[in-house]
Amino acid sequence: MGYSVELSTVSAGVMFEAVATGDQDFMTTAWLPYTHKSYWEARKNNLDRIGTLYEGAVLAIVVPDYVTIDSLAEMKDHAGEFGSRIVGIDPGAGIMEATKNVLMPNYGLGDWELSESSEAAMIAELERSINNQEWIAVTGWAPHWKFAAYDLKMLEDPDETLGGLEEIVIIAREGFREDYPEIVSFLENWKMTSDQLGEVMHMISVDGMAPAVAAAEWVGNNQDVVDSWLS
Amino acid sequence: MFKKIRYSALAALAAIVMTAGLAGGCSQEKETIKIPYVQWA
Repeated sequence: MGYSVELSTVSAGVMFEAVATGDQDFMTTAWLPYTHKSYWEARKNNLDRIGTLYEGAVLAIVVPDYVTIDSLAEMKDHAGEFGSRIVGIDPGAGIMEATKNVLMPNYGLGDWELSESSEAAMIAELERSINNQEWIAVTGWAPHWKFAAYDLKMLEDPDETLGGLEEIVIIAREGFREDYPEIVSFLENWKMTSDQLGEVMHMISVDGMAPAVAAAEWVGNNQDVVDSWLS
Repeated sequence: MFKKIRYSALAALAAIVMTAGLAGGCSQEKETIKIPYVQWA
């Protein structure tokens, strides 16, 4: 499109305020309906929600897709296959507290073990189990690059013990839609799947690439996807 | 941990919107579009 782009890193409150006042044009990193609810509610009359670029940001218990159950409610009937164990991450993480104190008692897993480890150790154990086609359950979240690297699924959480789904949405200043209709058309089309975002995150988190470098490489490797956003 | 992962995702999204959509494809530069973003949600 040929525009010059100025990115600036700010806090969430400043992000919403700067767009609401028209000082900045639009944001691509608003999390709704939960994380940024207070900022959105306070300024939504001066903002224009353009689109949703990512759906399904969520905490979950994750298993390989060959595991034959689909819900946390079924786990207690498969203690043998799972070894009565969920593989966790750092003990201070919010997902660990929610899993131990809410999820496990709720689904009849109070006598199971929640292993404390690290993200790297959890991923290593996940990969080892997949290589051996063994059952394993890990604390997980999306978006995350593991969904691009392995065939995984999130177990359904019918009682929402780990919270509900969030979306990453695009929000513009008042008048931006009229000022830049071609950009708004692009933003309305711009949607990324968990796998697509996971590929970019893998480049940043595992390969150590700078975000701008990773984004440029991903765009170059997925020009057909990008072209569909621009059409 | 979750903040670190969110950082990766959000930084990537900010970079992609610049790289994929707005900055490329035209040799004649137009106006400057200002995009604030958070490092983690």
